[in-house]
Amino acid sequence: MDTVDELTTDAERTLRRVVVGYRAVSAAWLVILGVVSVARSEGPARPGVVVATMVLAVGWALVTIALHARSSELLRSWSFVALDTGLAAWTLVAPDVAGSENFYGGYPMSPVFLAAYGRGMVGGLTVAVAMAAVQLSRLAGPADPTASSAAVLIYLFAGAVAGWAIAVLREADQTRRKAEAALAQEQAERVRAEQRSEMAAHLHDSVLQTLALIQRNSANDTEVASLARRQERELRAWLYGSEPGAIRGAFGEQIRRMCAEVEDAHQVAIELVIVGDAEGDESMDSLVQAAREAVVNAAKHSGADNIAVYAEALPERATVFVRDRGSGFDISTVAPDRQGLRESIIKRLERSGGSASVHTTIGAGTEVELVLER
Amino acid sequence: MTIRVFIVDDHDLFRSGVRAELRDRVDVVGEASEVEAAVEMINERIPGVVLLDVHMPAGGGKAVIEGVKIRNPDVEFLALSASDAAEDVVAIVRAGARGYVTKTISAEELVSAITRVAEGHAVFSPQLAGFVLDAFSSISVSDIDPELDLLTKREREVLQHLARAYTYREIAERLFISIKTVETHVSNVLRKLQLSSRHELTIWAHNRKLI
Repeated sequence: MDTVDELTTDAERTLRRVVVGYRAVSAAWLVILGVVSVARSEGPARPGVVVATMVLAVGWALVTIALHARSSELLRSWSFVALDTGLAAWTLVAPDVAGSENFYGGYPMSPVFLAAYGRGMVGGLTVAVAMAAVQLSRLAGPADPTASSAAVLIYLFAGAVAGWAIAVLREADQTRRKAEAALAQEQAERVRAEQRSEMAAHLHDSVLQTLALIQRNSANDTEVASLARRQERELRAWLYGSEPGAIRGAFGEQIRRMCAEVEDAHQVAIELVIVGDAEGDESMDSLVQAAREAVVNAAKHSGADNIAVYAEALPERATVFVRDRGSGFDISTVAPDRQGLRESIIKRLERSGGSASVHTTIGAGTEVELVLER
Repeated sequence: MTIRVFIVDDHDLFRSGVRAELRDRVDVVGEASEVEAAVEMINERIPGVVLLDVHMPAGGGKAVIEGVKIRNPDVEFLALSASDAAEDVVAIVRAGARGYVTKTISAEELVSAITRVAEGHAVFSPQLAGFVLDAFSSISVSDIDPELDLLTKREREVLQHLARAYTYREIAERLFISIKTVETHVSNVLRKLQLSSRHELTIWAHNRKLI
């Protein structure tokens, strides 16, 4: 197990905090011991070296803390580990530091932990061997009350245990995160599958049925066009969310539905443009009714297969234009008994305070204009 | 000289259909089904008009316009779509398309729209005219820069007639102006749409989704 890719997981952050925390505590401990040693009446022969070592240890601990927050990549590099080990070794071998009777702390252990964190078991053991070698060299040298063979074993033991424990923690953490990711993915897939089956159900009920009908009616052009138009309208409503009846009462929706019904009933194509919208009320209902009459008239009498409907609802007025490029007619010849135009359109709208006008030219088509002041 | 046309659409069936319809009337110099390929080929072949699907993966038609206009500002775009989502259509026109027609358009009308776009004119289908009226009418008068954003009464009138499926000629006759003047009004509307404040139209698009 070498460096871990994900340096930002909670587990990694905790490990790093423990390792750097040990470093800070042991540096502080080293300072306390140093001060006590210098303050004694029969203090060290070279107090300058002791003070310099204290400063070095504290300074280096601060550097480590800063690096831990910013660039843990550097913290893990072998060159950093080597430098760290060298400085810890110095606190052991410096004259009058570790050698002085009371001056011995946990600081020399901190590079073992740091290497175990950064480079795993290999790192921990490598540094442990290096520090053990330093201890052994002191044992071989002139009598030194703090040098002991037990310390050699402690280094090796600490290096191995730290390396192993950190590896176990990381593995457990990784397993947990993998399980979480798998769960999240499974949930996402289930949602996708549900959406897909909902979509499939909808397409089956609508589009596939229509396509089947179209194949059966392929000889009948008008029927095919009508089926395609109806399906298009329905699919569009489903896709863009203006489902029939969804905004019951709104003027735009009423006009839309009215046009759809006339399209189906009379086999014509209606090009509908809606600008603005308004709440429906009684007078708006009569406008829609009048518009329906006008559209039906155009579908039945004009001979055009295209009708343009423009509906505009502004705060001050609502307007509907119904236009065809069909045969047109002569208004003066409309029989008085033809109730459609006069009764259903003009009178109906006038009762609601609106007005209707008809512009028609024989051979060029008709436009009915319906206005309702609000 | 026949107009050089490039088709961008991610539906193979629709592309070949349009291609067949346009054969003999314009010179189809290429087609593409993806944004990246489209940008590359258009910049290489430099057609006069690009027929552009609004809904495409990877940024859609808007990305194609942006990718081409940087290098070849003279290439004109005509948006073609089966979608009625007003925000999408207005967005693509604001990106630089000269017009918008629906895919149910007849071959003759499509050729005439292509010709108009190639000549630098705007092409407003009734739907687009409706969307634009809707967008501008929902912007409150106090919020806008009068120089830029507000439609004049005449422009509004012209747009309304376009939305009622009037042709330029019919509009000219009705309003007692020349066809050229109608064209100028429409071009001005297009320019205002492209320059008007993004903020206002964003609010409009947002409100539409809430309705």
